[in-house]
Amino acid sequence: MTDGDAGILDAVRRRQYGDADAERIAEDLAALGRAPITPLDEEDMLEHFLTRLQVNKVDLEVAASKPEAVRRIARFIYGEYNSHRVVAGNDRRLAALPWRDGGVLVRFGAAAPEDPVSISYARFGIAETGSVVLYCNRDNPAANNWLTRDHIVILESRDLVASLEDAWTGIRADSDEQGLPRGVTVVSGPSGTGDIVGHLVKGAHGPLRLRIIYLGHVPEELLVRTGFESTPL
Amino acid sequence: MKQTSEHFQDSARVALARTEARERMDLLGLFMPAMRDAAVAEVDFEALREHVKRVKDHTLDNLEHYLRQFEEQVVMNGGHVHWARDASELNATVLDICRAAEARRVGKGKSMITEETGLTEHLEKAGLHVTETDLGEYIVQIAGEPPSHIVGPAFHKSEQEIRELFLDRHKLGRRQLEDPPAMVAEAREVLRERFLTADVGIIGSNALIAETGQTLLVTNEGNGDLVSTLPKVHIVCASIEKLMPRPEDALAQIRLLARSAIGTAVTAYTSFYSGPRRAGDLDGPEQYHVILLDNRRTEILGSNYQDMLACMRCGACLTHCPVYIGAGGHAYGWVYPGPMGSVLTPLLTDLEQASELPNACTGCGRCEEVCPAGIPLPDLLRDLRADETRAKITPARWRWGMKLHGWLARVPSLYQAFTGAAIAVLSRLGRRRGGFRSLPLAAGWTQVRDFPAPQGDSFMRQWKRRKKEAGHD
Repeated sequence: MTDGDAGILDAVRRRQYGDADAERIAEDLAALGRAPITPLDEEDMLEHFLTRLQVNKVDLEVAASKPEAVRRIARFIYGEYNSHRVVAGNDRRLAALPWRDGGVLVRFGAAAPEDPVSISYARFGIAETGSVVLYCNRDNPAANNWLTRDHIVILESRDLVASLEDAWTGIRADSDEQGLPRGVTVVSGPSGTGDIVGHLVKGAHGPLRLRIIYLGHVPEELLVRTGFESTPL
Repeated sequence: MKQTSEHFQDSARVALARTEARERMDLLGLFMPAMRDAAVAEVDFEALREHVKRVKDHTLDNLEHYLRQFEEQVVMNGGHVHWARDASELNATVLDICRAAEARRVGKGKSMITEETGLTEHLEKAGLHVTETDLGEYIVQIAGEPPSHIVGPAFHKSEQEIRELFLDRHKLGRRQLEDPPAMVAEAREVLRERFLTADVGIIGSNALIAETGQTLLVTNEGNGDLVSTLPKVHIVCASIEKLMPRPEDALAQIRLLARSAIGTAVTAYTSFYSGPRRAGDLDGPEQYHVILLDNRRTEILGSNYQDMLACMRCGACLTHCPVYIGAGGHAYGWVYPGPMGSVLTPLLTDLEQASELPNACTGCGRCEEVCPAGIPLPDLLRDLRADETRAKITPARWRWGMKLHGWLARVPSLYQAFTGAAIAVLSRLGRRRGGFRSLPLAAGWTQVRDFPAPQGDSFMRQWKRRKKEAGHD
């Protein structure tokens, strides 16, 4: 619905410089091209991603398989909360994980205020910024991104892309197929603030920690070089 | 909010006398530019800025088209678009939405637009309980002060002041709150309940995407996403110049925004919202409203000041400005401080009342150098000063002085003869002491420092002499 523009659009039309039609405007826009950024090489992508995760104060675990990812999650939540319980959205990829075998009790739904840990499945990882892309939709309730103390995000290596624009190409394709989700969020770290005398504190209103479980292979030497530790199960 | 820009000089004088606060501002002026410089070195800043500027110019030149496209998309996504010509219309629209939803509690995220319209005060007067949820905004709200910086609203407050404020306002018994992490943790606990009980969430937007009808929200704390998600009504307040054609254009802008604002490649959360919850969604608002505010932007559009509509509110010009660092944000007396505020305040409010702001500039040019939107701030400030002169806001003796100077400058032989003579006289009179404690027509200078005696001849006389000497050689 719309209330009517109260004459604002008329005022805009009178004042703006351009008077082109929609077709011409689209041509002019297309002619402006893409943002000038240096593209990342395929082989540099993973290193760049890991370096950025480090800068963004993101915790990382690498899992070679889905059962290993579950076992790592189980170890983390038991170590931190002495619990086996987590909340996760209705994402089919999450539902398909061997939770029971790994000893994790999952409640599928939206996080409640008393839930300490939520799990999401990333749609994309972005090497340029060290981010994961999450949707707010039926598969991943928004509360799961912001309400818990710990947010664990599983990212498959094949979903890692180089730039923000590359991620958006994939988001556009998803939206063409399934419609635009209510929210598209690029998450690049735990919540934080510098509002008290510029002192950077991690853990403001959103999660205190962000933990990425990277499903794929990372050479030991690369992990060490980017400042992460290899943590055998 | 009540405007006090006409008292800029007095307020700046008071701020300069507060030693401790000044030291904090000096640190801010060192620390933030260093962070920003390191972050922009990661990208080709000039090329990116040029690209984003071209896209923004194109958008503003075709703003009607993009506003219509955005409106159409929001409606298609199940949202509701409202238009507000001025502050009172925006405030009234928000209140109507709150009343229709029988709301009692409002959770607000950061929004400069609602600072501009005084929305919080308006809603509180109507009996609603409004909580600012951005930590900096929350601190100044409970302190009863306006923000002093557009990105860090409480940058002017010391750690001890914030500690005392929390100990006084949060009735949580005896505790130490020994450091910033302890204070942040307390604010998290206190505000958590407000997020969960808010009926309406109100937030600003960093960009409006015409192609998709999405509103972009860039935050670090996560509060903006919580107020966009948990309450049953989600209201986005944005001004009409925030349009960007495509999501990719907003992403290009983000690269500059986060680096310029806080010295990082990207903030913790970059979210694009596009409406109420969809069928099957387990959470999200039931209603989604976007309010598009004009408030004199259409007067700026197509004027000599149009470049100002590209401002992305990063605050880089503030922390790079020696006047802002010295005077502090409150001295500017309205919502927007620093160089961008000195341009925007006269344009959005009243040139006469804000007339001191365009003059609060040393002309150093740092603001233009770091502005990620490529806004020629010093030029716009100069144009505003010219407007003040034309509108006879500038004092008569200044105007006559400028007129005389202008006339003299247009007759080079007379100008050189006059300045040459004046310099020769001053040079001779000041030879013994090396400077002057007072000079006629220069009290503004000599009240606070000595005026150095000119050394030798004027530039033009020296130039001519040396040229002649070189010719003889």
